[in-house]
Amino acid sequence: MGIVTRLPERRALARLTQAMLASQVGVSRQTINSIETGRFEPSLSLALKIAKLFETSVEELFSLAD
Amino acid sequence: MYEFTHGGTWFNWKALDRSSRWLAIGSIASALIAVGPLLKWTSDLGYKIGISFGWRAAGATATMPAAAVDSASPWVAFWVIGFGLLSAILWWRLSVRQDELFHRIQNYALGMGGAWTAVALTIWGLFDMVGLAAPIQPPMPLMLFTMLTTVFGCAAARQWAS
Repeated sequence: MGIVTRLPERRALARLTQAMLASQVGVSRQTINSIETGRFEPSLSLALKIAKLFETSVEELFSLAD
Repeated sequence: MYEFTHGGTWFNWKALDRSSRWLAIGSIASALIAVGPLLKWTSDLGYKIGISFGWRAAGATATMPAAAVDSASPWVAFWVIGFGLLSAILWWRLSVRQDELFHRIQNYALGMGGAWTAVALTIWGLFDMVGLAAPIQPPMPLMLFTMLTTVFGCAAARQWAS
């Protein structure tokens, strides 16, 4: 079962590049890119960090694919 | 922070911070120095295989020439283990500075590389026991593990980080 993410939309709304977001949550730009394209599922701690940065919940950013 | 390039076989050096860059350079350089004597062992092995199949080049002797480096001498073992250990420590220092995607790729490569090396050596050992294969040469497990870890590392980088 895969994960659907709304991270690209939220990042665009916040006018952040992948590199800027990566630097703010302490991961590589490649990690953010892989999360956004669905190739890599983040750990709970990374998901929480990203959600906190966007002042939202993890469920708002990530959900299970049907 | 790292960024893999060339299908996971190389780094984007500009993306690495200064300390990580030096750790990566030190680790790769130490690994290359460590395998130096093994290259001699590999070429000797190739020579033996060539002769056993009758592929002797014109003018080449049927026996092995006197080795410039005796691969069984203790200093070769100290050399390989010493520089190998230095390379591993520098790589470990590099890896703790990286993120979870890096660790996932690395763990997958080391796990699969180790498991398949164990499988291959077990099968080889069984064949050796019944006389169907030559005894395992000491550097073989290390070479097999290195090759398999590299292959699985590239496969993991393509799957998760391409």
